[in-house]
Amino acid sequence: MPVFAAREGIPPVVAGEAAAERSAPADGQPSAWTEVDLGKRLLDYYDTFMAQETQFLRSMCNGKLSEQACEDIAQEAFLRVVRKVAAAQLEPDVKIGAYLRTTSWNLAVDTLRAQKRTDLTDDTALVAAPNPQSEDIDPLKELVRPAIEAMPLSRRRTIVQLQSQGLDDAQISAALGIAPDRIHKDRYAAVSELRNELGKFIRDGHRKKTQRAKKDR
Amino acid sequence: MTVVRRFTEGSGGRPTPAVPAELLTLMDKLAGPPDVWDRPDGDFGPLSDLYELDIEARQEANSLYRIGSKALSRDELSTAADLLGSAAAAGHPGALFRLALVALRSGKDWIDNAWFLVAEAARHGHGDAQRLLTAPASCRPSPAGSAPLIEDTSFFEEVRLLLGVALPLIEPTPPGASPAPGQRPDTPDICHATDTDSPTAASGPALVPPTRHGPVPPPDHTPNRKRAHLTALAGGLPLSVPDM
Repeated sequence: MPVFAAREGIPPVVAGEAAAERSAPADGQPSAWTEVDLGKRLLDYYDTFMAQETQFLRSMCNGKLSEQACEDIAQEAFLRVVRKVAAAQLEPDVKIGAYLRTTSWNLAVDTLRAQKRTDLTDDTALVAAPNPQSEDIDPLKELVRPAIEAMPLSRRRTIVQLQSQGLDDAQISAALGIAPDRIHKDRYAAVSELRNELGKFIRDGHRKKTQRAKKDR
Repeated sequence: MTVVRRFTEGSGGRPTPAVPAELLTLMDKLAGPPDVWDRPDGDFGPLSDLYELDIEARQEANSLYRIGSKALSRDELSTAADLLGSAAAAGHPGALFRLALVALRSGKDWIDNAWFLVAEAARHGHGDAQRLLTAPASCRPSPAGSAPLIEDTSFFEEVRLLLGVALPLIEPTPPGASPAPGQRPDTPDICHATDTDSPTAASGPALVPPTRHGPVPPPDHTPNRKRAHLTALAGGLPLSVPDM
């Protein structure tokens, strides 16, 4: 049976969740009844879960997530768990309510991390290279090279142009005179930097707009 | 609740559960409109292996893609940029494509970067991005005048318009032809990609229960940007093809 940590701030079973946590048969053996019942328990729990979880996430995240965002997270968590049930990936006697709320909480944490622009993969760890066997990389250069290095806009334009002509990564790297196993890393780094710049630009724009609105009052 | 539907796939040899029909209806509702790049199984296409992410991380990225897309539909650009950006950094082709739209909505200064993201999406196997990128070469009607398959039915048209790419973008694929560069041959069509009982679910993750990820990150006092809502184009987008 899966083991998972209870969340802080709420008891393991909350009001209205009892129906979702009906215990398994005494002999502990999975049966057709319990598997059907798992889906039914989820369905019965949906309205209660959505009402409670949205408010829970809203309060636990100190208002950093909008009510709509919290609802989106709860719905996504529910969908993920239902898909696991449908694919028979959960034991029939799992405490489905607690499992569901843990999934939701993890998703909320991921969302907040994304807002802080912390990657699901650590930015300091480079993604795998297409050709890891290549030996033509200067190890000293690798040490001093920052994990995220900007790709100039001019090079991004060039890459787009070459790619639009049908060139693949190997051909583009040859045209640019860079090692074939660098091109993916550089492009990855460029995407990572670009999204940071974009997020900052949008927030700065919002701040300026807000400040202008205050001055106009 | 007397009607149940039984999944026959994806159980990995375990007893297949019967799922209440009402639950399947709810699943369809929560899943939203068909989306080729909604990949709950974490399959992000031909470049998936280049990212050192386990299946759980890719599934998380897919969820961020879905939640970020909802924010994009509401024109909450800040949230959309963060969540789609996180999924894009995990190599999610659909997120790369929609992040390009976030850039385009942010202003004309971002068009070059948007093109770069479209190119990245194309490299990761996104068919719409590949068509946009090669538009000048493939801008011709198909002999039969048939509409091309659009993978991102919610946002493709807006991306195309903001990039200034002219239609028709017809890329007739003769029977038996090899897929476009970067396009995996078995890219599913819309129906296959969104079937909840698709075979891809069977090859999914091991039975790993969720564990808490840790404390909430410190707050970032940056409110979401609000602006006039730009309606995403809902529903299918069969492209009209003029007779020539």
